[in-house]
Amino acid sequence: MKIITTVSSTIAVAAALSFTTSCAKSDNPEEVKTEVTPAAEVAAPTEQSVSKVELAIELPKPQFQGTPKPVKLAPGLKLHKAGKRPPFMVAEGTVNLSKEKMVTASDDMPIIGDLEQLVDGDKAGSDGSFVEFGPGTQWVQIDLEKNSEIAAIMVWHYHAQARAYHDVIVQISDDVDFLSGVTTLFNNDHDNSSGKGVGKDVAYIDTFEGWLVDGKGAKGRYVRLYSNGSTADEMNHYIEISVYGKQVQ
Amino acid sequence: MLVAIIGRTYQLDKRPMHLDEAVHAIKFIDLLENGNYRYDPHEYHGPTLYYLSLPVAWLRGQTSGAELTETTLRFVSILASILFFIPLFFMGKITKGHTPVAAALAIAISPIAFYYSRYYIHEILLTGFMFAFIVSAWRYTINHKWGWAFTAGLFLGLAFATKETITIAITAIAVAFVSTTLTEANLRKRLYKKTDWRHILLALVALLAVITLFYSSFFTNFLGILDFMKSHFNFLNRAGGQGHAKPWFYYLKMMVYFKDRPGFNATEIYFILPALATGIVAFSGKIKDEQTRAFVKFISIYSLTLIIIYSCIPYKMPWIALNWMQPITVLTGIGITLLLGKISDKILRFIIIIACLLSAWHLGYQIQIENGRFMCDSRNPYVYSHTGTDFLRLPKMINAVAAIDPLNKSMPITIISDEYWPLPWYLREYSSVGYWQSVPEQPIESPLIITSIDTATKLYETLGSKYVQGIYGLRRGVILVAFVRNDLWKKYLEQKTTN
Repeated sequence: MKIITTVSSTIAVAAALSFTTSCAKSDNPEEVKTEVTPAAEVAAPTEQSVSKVELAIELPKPQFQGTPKPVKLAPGLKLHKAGKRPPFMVAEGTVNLSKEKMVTASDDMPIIGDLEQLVDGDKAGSDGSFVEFGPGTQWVQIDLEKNSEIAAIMVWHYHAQARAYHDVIVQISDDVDFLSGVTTLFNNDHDNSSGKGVGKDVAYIDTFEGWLVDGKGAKGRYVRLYSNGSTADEMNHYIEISVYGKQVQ
Repeated sequence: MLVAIIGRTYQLDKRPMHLDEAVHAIKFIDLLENGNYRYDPHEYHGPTLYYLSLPVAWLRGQTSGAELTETTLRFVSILASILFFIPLFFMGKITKGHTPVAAALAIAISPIAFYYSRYYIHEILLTGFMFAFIVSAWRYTINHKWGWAFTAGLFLGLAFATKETITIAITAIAVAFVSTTLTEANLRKRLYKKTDWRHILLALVALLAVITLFYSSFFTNFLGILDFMKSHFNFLNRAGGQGHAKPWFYYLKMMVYFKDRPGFNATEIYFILPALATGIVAFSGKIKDEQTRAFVKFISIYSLTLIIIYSCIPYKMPWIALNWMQPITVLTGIGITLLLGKISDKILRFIIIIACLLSAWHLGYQIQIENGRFMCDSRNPYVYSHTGTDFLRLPKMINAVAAIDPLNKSMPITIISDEYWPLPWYLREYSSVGYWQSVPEQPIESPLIITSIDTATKLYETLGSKYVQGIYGLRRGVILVAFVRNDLWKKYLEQKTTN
């Protein structure tokens, strides 16, 4: 069963959505080999000395196309309403580090689109803006070029139709192959079907507002995102990924 | 052609059951297990689909719902689609030469015919019976032998016993018959002089016998015949749309050029253009052979009338296009054979053959995509409210959880949702499944609960932390939530890790 959450974890997740709590702790034994560091254990930056500003996220136009019936959401499934996302505070000087950076993927030849589209700033839900990867667990990876402190990661999978992507996992590492020093920031693979450990994070339905993953100041050069199809089909889609943070001096 | 027929049987069970297929399957299980069938004038269409499924199930040694498979059910449609090829070789003088082979090849590589040949619904049977009727009736107008009249009556009866929309096909036949006889003097005279009214009576007897046999559930429910007559009023009301209303150009767009999202475009223009040209040539009198000309005229007008009528009716479904696409495809086969027969220039013949091969290649590509990667994808023009591939994770999880539960397939399952089909098909082996439209007042004890996404909200208040939840796509825009009791889920995860 994918994207499972307990009711108790729902509360935790709801709290996480107000950006006050930590993200999931991975409990897959296999991950011992990959030296995963749960985000909660990452040393918090010295926030007191840094002035905070609201993260400005440019949103595309809403574009649910041909959805036969609007999807209502249970508390365990989150969907921000337009203008309802709580302000997300970041340190002054935080920028989009991923813009036009190099993207690699488990499949370098997507079925539709090019990898460059993931970081080109085009977040529209229309045809021509999304990249389609084949079925099964697929990942995309962004090279930020330098070690960076991550404040937030925004991801738009597909928002022309109501759907939820399975096994959304967001990781950061200094290792290009993600074999060591891996920090998991988000994981909603609740049945471990993607083999990265059982995740406790919430399932969500993609909208034009995208999904915000708290970076919690985790440090790394590479950002990797996994998915394993959606409630619509087996394919994996991405429209845009924006990694916000600062390069570490 | 053999490849196309074998291809129709490839991985028949891979595509999730469409809700209509599942509804028919559950109805058939009652017939298979208990011998029960009563015609319902409001739903499910005619009885042939169910009765013709019986021998297929028996031959495969399946006598219960638990044993029944998607392959068995869909094989009924495949058999009907293969039967469509047979009349092609009995088209009288037109049968001479390569015409039937060309027509059969065209049908074999028609994407719409291929897709719905693998679909457990009535349409492929209806079009097969109608074409067999047309060819039989056509043969009767040529040789006036009683056997063809009888066969025509028999197949028309089977068509009547398949789907109520037969009345639309009969209207199209009447229009085509009048148009053809008005423009073909010899045919008109021959019909007038040689038709034996005893033969027509025989055809009517055969027609009524088949209708009576099927609609009375083999003489066990004579009210079924009355219900069949009443049904036309119900389906007349349904023509208004009932949630399936679409613009008049829906079918034309679907057949000429279909594009939903990037990744795949579909077209059957390779049949429509040659068929149109063949019809125009026939009406311009350039086809010298009288039989071929009259037959082409008849099929052209029949197809055109069907397109017009169905385009005017707001209620539209993609599989309805089979009704005219099958005859149009036959026309294409006839037209190409006639064209190649006329052209003596070797280079021109070569160009036409190359064009045909390229068209066949593109049609084959479409068949591969539409029955493979896009078998449930809205980019496939023949996919309509189809169950998504994501749904298949749900019965898989249920089976795994039930295997852990001490009650196994007697494990109580509660389903609270307006939209849940085709779940009953996938849960056919479970003996304690309850379906609810809203959250029941009494406490739910089931270890497994499946709800619509909005009902899930209400359940949180009552279930507390005893359950975990997961989401599953049912079809485009419809998501189900499954609640599994914590202890079972924990064991399920443990077992999954061990395996």
